[in-house]
Amino acid sequence: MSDKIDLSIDAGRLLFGLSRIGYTTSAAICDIIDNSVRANANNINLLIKKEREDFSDYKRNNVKEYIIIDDGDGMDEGAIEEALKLGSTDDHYDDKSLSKFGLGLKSASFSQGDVLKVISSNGTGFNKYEVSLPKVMEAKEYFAEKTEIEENESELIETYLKEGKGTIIIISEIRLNNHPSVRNTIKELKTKVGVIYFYFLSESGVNITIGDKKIDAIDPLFISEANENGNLNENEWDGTEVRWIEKPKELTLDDELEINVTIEITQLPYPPIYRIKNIGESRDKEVRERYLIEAGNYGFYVYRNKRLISWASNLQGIIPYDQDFYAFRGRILINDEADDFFNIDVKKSSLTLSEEAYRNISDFTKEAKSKSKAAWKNAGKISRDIINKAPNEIANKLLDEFEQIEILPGDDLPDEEIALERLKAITNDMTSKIKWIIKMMKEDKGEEVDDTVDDDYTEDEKEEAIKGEKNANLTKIFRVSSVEDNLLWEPYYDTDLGNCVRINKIHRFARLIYEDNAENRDLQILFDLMMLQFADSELYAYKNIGKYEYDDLKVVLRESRRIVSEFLANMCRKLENDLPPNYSDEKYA
Amino acid sequence: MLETSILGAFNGADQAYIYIWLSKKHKIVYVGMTNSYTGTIGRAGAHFNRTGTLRKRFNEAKGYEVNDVDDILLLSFPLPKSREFTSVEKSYREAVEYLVQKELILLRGKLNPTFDVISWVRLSPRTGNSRIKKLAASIVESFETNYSRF
Repeated sequence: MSDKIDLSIDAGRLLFGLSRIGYTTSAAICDIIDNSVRANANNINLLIKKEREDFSDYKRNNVKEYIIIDDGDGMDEGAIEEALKLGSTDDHYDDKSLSKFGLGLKSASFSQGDVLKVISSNGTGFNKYEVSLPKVMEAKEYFAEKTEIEENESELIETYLKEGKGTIIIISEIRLNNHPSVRNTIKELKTKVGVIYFYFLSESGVNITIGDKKIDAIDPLFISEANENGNLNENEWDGTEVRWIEKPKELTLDDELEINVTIEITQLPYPPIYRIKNIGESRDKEVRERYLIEAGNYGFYVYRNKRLISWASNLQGIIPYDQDFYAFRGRILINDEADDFFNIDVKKSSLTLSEEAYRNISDFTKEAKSKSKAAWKNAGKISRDIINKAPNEIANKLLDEFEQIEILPGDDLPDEEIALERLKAITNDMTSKIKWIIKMMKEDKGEEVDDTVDDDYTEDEKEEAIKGEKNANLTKIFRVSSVEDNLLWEPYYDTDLGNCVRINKIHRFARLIYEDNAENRDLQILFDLMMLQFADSELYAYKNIGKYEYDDLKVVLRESRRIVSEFLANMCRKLENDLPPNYSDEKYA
Repeated sequence: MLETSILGAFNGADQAYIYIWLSKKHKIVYVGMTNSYTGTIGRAGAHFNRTGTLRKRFNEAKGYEVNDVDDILLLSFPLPKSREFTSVEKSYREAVEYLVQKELILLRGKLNPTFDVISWVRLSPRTGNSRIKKLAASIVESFETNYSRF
């Protein structure tokens, strides 16, 4: 048995502490709007009264009062007193409450000003209560005062609450110490409120106005546009449209507690492409603003009971701090049952994932992250390609005037008959190979392909399959997504193109060159040229080395190509973190 | 006596596999892939040795040693016998492995008993390939269909 020892609370210091937990002005106002939303308000009005009305909205430290008026259920005297308590109960609201700690009204209000006034009626007449932080601090006791409704407050009731019910919250004695300008607060609120209450504004008929300006709902994922444009193909997307990366999926966070969340992910546009595609119009700025594309806005938007609780969270590093993810927009929809998996702070501005939630969401989003990054890079590549020639095109261009040596010193020029025979054999092999190349291309594009190989293909399909893309500038060296048996490269020959090489750009070694060393254009050009020489030498042997049978040469050279491809893959695997560009002189000094 | 039927799971000479370690009692699933010459049985050694990944992940997920588990089951799914799947270059195998893991994460809430997927898999750029998607779907379907009798 233990004795109960009273540890008294200094209410003044406690309230002061609560007022300094780091609300921004917009976050504080949104927390108060939460109360209006859960009180079933249809109309919520925010009025910002300036200290000096003659000063412009651009002036900092010029706010006198924030007034939030809603026509919701309202409160009688008892309910107002309950709402003003620290840790007020939420019993009289439904299960979909936005409340979590019962501290929002007080902590949000006192974060901005020293006095909080609540005027409310549930239809039985308006009552007014005031809490003053300086008075509470002086008395070291938490209390409210019931006061008379003033004339200007009666005018507000007349104007906005004609039905005789609703609530007015007034935050006054604003702390004018580095307080944002009216213009900045309104600008920020338009975006924040539009996103935070997206579902209430778009689905529940709630109207929120700031002054006389109605706030529009903003879907940070722009899914209506994604629905029109379809799924993201990261290898083809040019950055001009919103696309789906992951349509809504239900994910189980805890099987025993049956905690499910819904996740959806879209890819927003790549603004620089607008600068290039519309030279002189400079629409990239407009696109950035419209889609909110900037450093603080990419990541996951977490909505709890349809109210945003986390803005562009990187979910503890699941989405890395990296500009390549600027277009990544994810949304997680949770209800209050998932609170233990998304530990939310008092300000409702950040959350900490439980280990299980982290792991599941991290695993689930790997592919989406990779797609988003690859798409962003691809759009960047497209935009660079428009301005500059890509390394692959430069390598091809370099070969315009290049003539391969016809016969090496010491090799005998084959008889005409044998040469023609060999050429016919090579052509036949390549012709029969084309249908397989087309099949592989279709599979890589996600198309359903029968096991039977179809001889019926168009010239466009053939060009795209052989080269990896339709591009007249590619004449000899082609970067493709599939090569037979997943080798690093294979030779290709036809009478129009001559000797060519198809490089498997997804082979680990090719990815080391093309992706890990993407910034090194010279390396890429040289690698492309080297691959062509390898393929060319193989075709040279088929045509000119008459002392060995063609079929034997094919087997041996192909095996050699296979072994080189495998050795290179193995080297990349074993030396993964040490190869350029990660190589460091210091480590091997 | 412990009697273990390993069928052909030791043969990796020209055969790669996707495999799933499953413990229904302890509610864990571990997905992997291998082109090991000794098949999934051979690969198992590395998972269960002192620094093995399965041992480590199990401990991290459950807080106790995998040695305490007495119902662990190895399910081996042979991949097509072609070079793309058996080669050292592993983008095809990794793509199937990734899609299987992803689908199991989505599926786990629907199965009884449910489970945690404790493996970590690497993403492959080939996950959009229709043939690979079909392979992964057939593995997951087979897992789901037979789950009640495991």
